[in-house]
Amino acid sequence: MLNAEFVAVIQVLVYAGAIMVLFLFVLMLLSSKDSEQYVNKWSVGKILAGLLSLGIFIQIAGLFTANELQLGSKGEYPLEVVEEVGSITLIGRLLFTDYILSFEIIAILLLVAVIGAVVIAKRRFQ
Amino acid sequence: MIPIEHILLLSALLFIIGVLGVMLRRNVIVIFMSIELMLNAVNLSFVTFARSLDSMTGVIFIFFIIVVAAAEAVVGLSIILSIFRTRKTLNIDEFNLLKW
Amino acid sequence: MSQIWLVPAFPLLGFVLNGFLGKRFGTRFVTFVGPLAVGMAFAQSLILFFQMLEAEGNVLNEHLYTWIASGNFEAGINFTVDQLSGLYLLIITGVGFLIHVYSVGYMKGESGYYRFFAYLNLFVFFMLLLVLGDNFLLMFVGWEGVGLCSYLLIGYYFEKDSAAEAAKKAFLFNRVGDFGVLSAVLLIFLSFGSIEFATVNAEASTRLEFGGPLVTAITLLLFLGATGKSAQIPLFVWLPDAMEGPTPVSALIHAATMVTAGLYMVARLSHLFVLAPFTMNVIAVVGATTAILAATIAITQTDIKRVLAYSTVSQLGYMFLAMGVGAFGAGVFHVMTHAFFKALLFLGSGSVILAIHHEQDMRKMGALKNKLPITYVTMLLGTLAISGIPFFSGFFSKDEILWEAFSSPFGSPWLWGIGFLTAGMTAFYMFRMIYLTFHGDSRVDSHVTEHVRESPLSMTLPLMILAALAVIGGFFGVPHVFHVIPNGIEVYFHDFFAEIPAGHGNVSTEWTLMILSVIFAFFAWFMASRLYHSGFEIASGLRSKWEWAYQLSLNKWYVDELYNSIIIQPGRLLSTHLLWGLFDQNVIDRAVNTTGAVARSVGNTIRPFQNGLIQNYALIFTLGTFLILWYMT
Repeated sequence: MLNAEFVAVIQVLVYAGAIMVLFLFVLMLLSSKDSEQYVNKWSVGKILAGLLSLGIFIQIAGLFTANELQLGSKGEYPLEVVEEVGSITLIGRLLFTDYILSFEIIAILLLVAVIGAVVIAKRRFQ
Repeated sequence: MIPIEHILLLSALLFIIGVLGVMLRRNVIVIFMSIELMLNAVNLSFVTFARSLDSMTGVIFIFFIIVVAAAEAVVGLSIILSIFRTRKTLNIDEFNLLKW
Repeated sequence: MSQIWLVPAFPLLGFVLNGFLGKRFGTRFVTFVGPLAVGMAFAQSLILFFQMLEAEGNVLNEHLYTWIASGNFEAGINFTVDQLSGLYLLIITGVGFLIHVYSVGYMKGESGYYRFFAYLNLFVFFMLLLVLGDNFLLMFVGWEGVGLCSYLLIGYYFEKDSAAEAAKKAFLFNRVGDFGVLSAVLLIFLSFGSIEFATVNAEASTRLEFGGPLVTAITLLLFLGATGKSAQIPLFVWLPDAMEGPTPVSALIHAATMVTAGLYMVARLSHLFVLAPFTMNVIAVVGATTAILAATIAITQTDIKRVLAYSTVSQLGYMFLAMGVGAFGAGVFHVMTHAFFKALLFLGSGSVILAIHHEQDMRKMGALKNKLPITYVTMLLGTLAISGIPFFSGFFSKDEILWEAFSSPFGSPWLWGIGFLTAGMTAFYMFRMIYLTFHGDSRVDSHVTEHVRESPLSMTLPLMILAALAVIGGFFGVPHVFHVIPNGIEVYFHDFFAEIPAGHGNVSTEWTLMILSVIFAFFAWFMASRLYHSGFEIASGLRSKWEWAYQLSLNKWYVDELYNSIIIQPGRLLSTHLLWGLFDQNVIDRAVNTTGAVARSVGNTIRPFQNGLIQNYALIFTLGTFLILWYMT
């Protein structure tokens, strides 16, 4: 409905494909014995947490449904252009021209994260 | 075309559910999943604004958020693995060394 | 070009050389450097003296260095030689030089020989600074410095408890006086905007109201300082105890120079003092009372140095009596003659003490006049001078004071009466001292008697020079009535001191009083010889009849005990119970401890917030977010 097919596909691929699989692997490695029963006690903290979250929701909702929701200036890619060129093409074009620096940094970030994860989770061999 | 206020409300609701999950659940893995939920909620609001402002900047930003979320999940889970080896439990009340 | 700075520079150099190099280079070095430093200062003082007499206005000025310049206040290191400081320069360096030479013989063989000369040179330096300074600040530097050196030298035998205590006592009593001087300097600065003597003297009559409370306060405070330094009532008790120091110290500091510093200050500020008749009366009365009080104590003392110490206090009282009745010139004249004969007497007594192996008790002396001839003759001459026997120096100066006490508008016959009695008592106890020391049968310890010998030349030569001065020194100030030579002191000090209204009394009265005091002096001599020419026996008979008077006199009128009970004990009680017990322990300690306790309790309250539970932290995040959102909307 929002004409952002690329986002949808990427979300499914990354989250359902990669991150969920990762979680499952980790759960497999964390073989805790019979699953612990967490006793859920009500405490002051939990009630306060609930109230605060409710408060924040009301505030944000109030913000979003204000009468005159003033939006910023319009961009350059109205619906027709996107449908004609194709969202993936547009994203690819923008990534490699206007946002190239951020793209490179993100790549390095991924590399660092992978290396870091391996280092942290390694077993120390004596 | 659905008025964007509805989608934004949905995004806010998802975010609050994520926050509640972080504060109220005891299992560390569940807390992580709640954090991912929060990030996705923000993704949704970004897409909404991108559409209503006829701009592609929002989509690019989503791209980056997804990448960062993935990286953070990887590192976080490896830390949990490492701590689990010592404490043999996933109860977050046991991870209480972040103090004086 | 007058090089005034050379005069204090020589003794300062002597102090530095003796103090730092004396120990290494040994006795001969110190013997050479110590007296030479003061001798060179004396030579330069002579040169300056004659230059000053030629100079316009009889004053030489030298500006060395601007010490403080802050806003309106300026104080420089400036030296001034005028009539008053010129005379003092000669006295200090001349008598000082003789005493240095004497000390070479007296202190021979003492350990710490170099230390003695270093301190003595330093003392001369500070005393010179005192009289050369042209403003209160520089004078006060010298004032404090001589107090310090007095402390160092009284406590020269610092291993003896009594010496250390005496040094402390001297310094503390001086300090009380210093409080007076400082307060007065503050008031003077407030009134005059300047602390230079020339300015104060010149503008005193225009700025300060005659007899008003301000000038009376200033002068009384200055006089308080003078009583501390010059041992008058109420701050005189340190001087007899100061005899713990070596005899040359007693001669230089406590007879000739430091104790005259208070008189110097009063004389220097004569224009200020004549504006406060009340203070003048106070000074005269205090001087007279001190004179007679000290004389009554000296009559019964058995330590030869104590006799001389109380005699000094008494003579200083005379000088203050002179200042108090406006006879500033006569007072300074007596300073000069007193320096001669009192230094002579002290040095002579030192010669005796050394000859009989450091014995100071007169009950163990006697029949020494044949064994110590030079000492005997010189001491006799000094005694004649101090007793006011005609034509010796003391006669002229003392008589001038007595006449002014009688005839000056500030004086009165009562003051003359007290001075007259004191003069008689002075003659009495001085001759008593002579008879007990030199005449009669020998009470000296037997094993000492064989070794009694006259002192070496280094000691007897100064004695002879001082004796000569004590004999002829009086002819500088022959009173008018003799019509033979003009009164040198009056000519010398013309227009220097403040004018006082003319006194009453005529020439015949003056002759009458003079002849009366001469007769009384001879009478006292006669009584002393009757009582003491053969030792203590006759006097003891007299004592038993007047035991209460004897005890009162021997115990110094119990002044020390009085001070102890009135000031010291209450002070100690106050400090212990109130200041320490109440204030220090309760208030200060409690404040400090409470601060610590508060810090600890605050920490204890806040610490549980950081408990390491991550979900608590997340809760606080959301709380913060809520508050921020609330604030923004």
